Amino acid sequence: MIERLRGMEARQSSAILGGLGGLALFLVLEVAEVLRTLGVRYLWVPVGIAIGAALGWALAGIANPMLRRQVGAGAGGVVGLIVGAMVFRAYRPEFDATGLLAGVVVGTLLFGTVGAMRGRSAVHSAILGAAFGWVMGAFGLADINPLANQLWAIVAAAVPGALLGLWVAWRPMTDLLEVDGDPSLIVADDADELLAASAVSGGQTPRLWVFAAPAVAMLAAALLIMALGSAEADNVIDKIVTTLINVFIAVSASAGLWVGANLLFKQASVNWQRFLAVAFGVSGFLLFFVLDGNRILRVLGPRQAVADGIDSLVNIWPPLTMAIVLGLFGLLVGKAFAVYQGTPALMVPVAAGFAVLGLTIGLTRTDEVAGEFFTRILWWPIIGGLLSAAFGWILGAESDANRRRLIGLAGGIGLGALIGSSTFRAFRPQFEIVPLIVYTAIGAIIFSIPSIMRGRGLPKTAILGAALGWLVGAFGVPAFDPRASQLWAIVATIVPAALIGLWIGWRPLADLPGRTKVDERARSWIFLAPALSFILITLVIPAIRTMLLSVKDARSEAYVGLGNYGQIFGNELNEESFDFEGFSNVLTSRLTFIGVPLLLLGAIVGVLLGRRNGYGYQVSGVSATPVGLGIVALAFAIFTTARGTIINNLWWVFTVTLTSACLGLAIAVLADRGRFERVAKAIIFMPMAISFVGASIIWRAVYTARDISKPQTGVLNALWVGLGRLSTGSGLPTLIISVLLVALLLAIAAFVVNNIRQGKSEGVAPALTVGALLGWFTYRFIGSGVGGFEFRSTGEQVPNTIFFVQESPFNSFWLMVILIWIQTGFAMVILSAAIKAVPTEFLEAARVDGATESQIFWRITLPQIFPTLGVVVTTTIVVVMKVFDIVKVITNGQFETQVLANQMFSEAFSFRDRGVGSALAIVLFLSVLPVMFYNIRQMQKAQA
Amino acid sequence: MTTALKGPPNQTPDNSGGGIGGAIYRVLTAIPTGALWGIVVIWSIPTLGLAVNSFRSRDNQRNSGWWNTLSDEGGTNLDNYREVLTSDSTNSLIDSLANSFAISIPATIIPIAVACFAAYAFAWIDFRGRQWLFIATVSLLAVPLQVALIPLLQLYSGGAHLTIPLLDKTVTLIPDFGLVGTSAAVWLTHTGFGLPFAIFLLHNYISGLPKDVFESARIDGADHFTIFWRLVFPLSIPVIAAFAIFQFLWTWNDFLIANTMTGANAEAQPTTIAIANLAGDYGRNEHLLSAGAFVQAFFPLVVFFSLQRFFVRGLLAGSVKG
Repeated sequence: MIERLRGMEARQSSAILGGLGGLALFLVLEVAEVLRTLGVRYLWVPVGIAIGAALGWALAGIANPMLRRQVGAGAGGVVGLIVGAMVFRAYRPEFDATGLLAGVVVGTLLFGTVGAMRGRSAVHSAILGAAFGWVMGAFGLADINPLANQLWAIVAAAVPGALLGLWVAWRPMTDLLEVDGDPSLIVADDADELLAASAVSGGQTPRLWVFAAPAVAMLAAALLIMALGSAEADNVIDKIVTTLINVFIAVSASAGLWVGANLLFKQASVNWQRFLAVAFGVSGFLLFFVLDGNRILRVLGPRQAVADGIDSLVNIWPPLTMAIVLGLFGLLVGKAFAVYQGTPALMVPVAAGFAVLGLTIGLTRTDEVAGEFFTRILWWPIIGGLLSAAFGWILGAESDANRRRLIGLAGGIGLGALIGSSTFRAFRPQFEIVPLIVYTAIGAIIFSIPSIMRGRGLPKTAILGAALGWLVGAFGVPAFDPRASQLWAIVATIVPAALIGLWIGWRPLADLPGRTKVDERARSWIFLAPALSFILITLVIPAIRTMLLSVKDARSEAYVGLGNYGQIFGNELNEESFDFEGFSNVLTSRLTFIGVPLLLLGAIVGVLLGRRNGYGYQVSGVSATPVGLGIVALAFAIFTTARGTIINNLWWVFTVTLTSACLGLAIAVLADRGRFERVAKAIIFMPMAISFVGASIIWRAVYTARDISKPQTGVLNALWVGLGRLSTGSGLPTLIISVLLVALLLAIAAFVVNNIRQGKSEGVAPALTVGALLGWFTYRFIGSGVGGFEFRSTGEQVPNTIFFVQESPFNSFWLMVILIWIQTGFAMVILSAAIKAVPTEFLEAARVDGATESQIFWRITLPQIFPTLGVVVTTTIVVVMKVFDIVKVITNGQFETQVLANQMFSEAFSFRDRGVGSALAIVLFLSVLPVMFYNIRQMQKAQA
Repeated sequence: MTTALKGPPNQTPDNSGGGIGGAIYRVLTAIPTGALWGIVVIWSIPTLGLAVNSFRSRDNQRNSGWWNTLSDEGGTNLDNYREVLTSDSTNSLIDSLANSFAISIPATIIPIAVACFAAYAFAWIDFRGRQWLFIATVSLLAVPLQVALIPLLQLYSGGAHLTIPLLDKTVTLIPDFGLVGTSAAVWLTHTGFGLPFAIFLLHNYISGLPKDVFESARIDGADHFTIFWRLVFPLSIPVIAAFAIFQFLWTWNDFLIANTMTGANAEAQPTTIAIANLAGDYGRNEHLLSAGAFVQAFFPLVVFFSLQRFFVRGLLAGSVKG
């Protein structure tokens, strides 16, 4: 952004700055509901942006200082007039001369002095001060009265508007974009060159419009939806604005913290004393924050009566304090910009922006950031932080070893005395001598072990160990007792604090290499800390906790050992995990009868071909296709007879992974270099963008079944019933189709015979496969009919539809189809890229040697893309193992379609059995563990 | 479909011969291309059918399939969309759309920043245990998030407390912010869960940047922050874009986390839950499902089709290199 600002014409950039100013001002006014609405809420915001931008644009074109000032003051005054005229009745202030005078005088003097001290024009700063003072005096201090004179409201708003305009225009024309020499700019030039180079080489860097276009489209769509909806869209706009504000706060707060940390540790190598002061200050702040947050310290700050008094001042304190706090914070960020971007001029606008943000938060969140937040939560941390900062400042300048120890001791005693004497009554420990001595000794010993083992004698860390041991012995072990001696509480705090202070003072003042090392080491942790803490809090620690919960009972009260796992693997849940009741049917299953011969056929063909070509077993289309189909048929035979949740999961993994990988590969090969490759791929890839819930809804419509006597609304049943009617009918269409089918079969046979006679294997295998399927279809078409009926156990043929969702066991398969529909695109894209990466020399060499396309695929392409296939398979396995949405939406685990993830959800959140739910989650975790290890090994290989 | 014949589809057979034999040969060599288009048709029919249905009236949807649209009584109209998009109708998706944005926007932006820092540190800052920590972080990619759901829900509903072993005293580590049932709980969770992948993807890219650029910058006196901000961040825009698309699609389309974290609070539910609820009361609102599903899918589809290039690039960077 800044980059762009700098590169742009001065006019444009000042228009942007003006627009931002308008945005900030009118956003605050709108959020606080100060202005009358323009029909739709927040309409003022774009108006404000427009006004600000226009003003910025105009000002940037005027070089004459006098004219600039006149234009600025005039325009500011007009904006003020508008605002004043539109002020909501409830915000009209009464005229209060004393307050007004006081505000203006104080503001002018304060800002003027500060400005002069900083070496700026005193008049310029005073103008701003006068404006602020006026606002405070006229609006902040005066009573609000709906009956007050409107004219005064207008004047009261117009004057500071004019003053602000004057202040803005006071600066000469190019001041805002002043850039001074800064080492970081050297890097910037490098970066620009690199960016330019990469843009030239392959268009790596996307242009802005690539992102702007969809953003604009989405915005337009959102507006259209609102317009289609109704005028009550206020609520929604409110929600979005709140979200954006939240995001902005979260992002800028964390970015600020992060930038601040970077700045702080940069100080370690630049100015050690400052670094130490800030570092100690922050630590002290945090320490006191934790102590105060746990209500260990006595309440500090105004008593309730005073707090009530503050509350009666309504909205002034929280917004003001927030504005000051965030403004200071913004100053820090601005400073960072100044240091790293070489744009010192932006420091003030950034700080002002944050102050405005604080004002906005204060105005919108009055309830949440009530006076208590500042009086109760912040006083102790601020005091602790300042004291610690002073301690660090003193220590950072002292190099004499003895005096350092003395300072450390004194600082520790001081802080310890403060904490000890302010300890809340309920946290006073009883005096117990034995644990105190024991733990202090243990602490000292433990902390000295590493050093003694290295043969360095009794170390300084023993002091730290003793301090920590003392804390445990004095506070941890004995019971708290409000009647215990306060003196002991103080002593018990002073001693460890003094010890820690001594330990800190014992270390020598860091020398220059040491300081640089601190800087270097800290950077890695500053860069890593945000991500690692997020991962720890949301993933690692919860996962460990889940393991713990999984060995406890439903309410996590008592340990039950492996009882929950026993329930899962012992089939004691609502849905069985393993059900082998009908498993013996696997021997009589039709799928077995199809699978076994296919397997044998593939094996024999492979061996025969292999013998002819000198391999043991030849993998090619002719041998692999029957083997693959045979394995699938056998697996289906097993999975349809052995039932249960875990078996279902295995079935899902087997079917979806295999099918989507094979289909994806087939499509990638078929589409490769073909015409319309991109279109075909985009269509097959599209389901990746649709949610699982959406996909489930789409496919549920496909699977719809109605009574056989009515017209079908689901595509599959309509086809099934329609074909059935056609095949059992006796009209001309039936006859024509029958003849066509037979003709096609004959053609295929002729093709196969012809090829074999000429000794070509090319195309025989697929033709045979197609022929077999078509033959079976023709047999049924001419014979008993293709669909629209079912066989009863009596052998009777009854017309019926297929209940895809309800009929077990194949309903699970129909659910898998949905995931296959989604995942195939993923496999296709990745495998397609891998195929295109196969070196063309290999392929050409093979072609020159007379290899057929089929041979090239099986012997060259496939081995080349094998690692990628591994990636696709592992990724898909992880996705499938966790499958949840599809089952939840379509059956919710009914009709024997339950899977682990859905069972976990219903056990944990519907039946509120945390134990079993956690155990199921852990089972899920363990089942992807092999994949995880595989991934880690691959990664180690890649890193090595 | 494992037949897998490879070759230009218009390749002419060398000895097709004339007459009927040649015709048969040509038909059969066209099977691969035909199969491809067959798959494309099969892939698009479900979506197409639902799309057509979304413009049909309730009665028409119930009594005949979408392929009968041309013979429908009363023709097609926008009533379904109107009902779904009217904010005062009981089946309105407007609120849930706002919620979806409230979830996906922060859940996309925040991990990007956080992961960029970490990826840079893993790639270009030397510290002890870097390799080990990186592998540990990225191996979390495969962890099913179910494993974290129950404790996270407890964290959002009651804060985090640690009972110190042996001493039997409890310390509050994180106070209760009352996050359960808010979109903040959802996007916080998404942020954490998205990070391993984000770090992995960005690291793959950032570690591949030319080394001499960094060295010359160091010589010029730039510190890590400057290098990151001035060099790495602008150069990583393409991969950041790829991740942003991923994360947006993933968070917009998520059902499990939203369902767990917003619980019964209808005011915070995103579109996925809203349309799942529409699907839940079977029969009554079934005619709105098609329109609802399309409204839900509209934004991800826009992102997907306009930024497909970056999406695919990210997909490849995220899987092939691994």
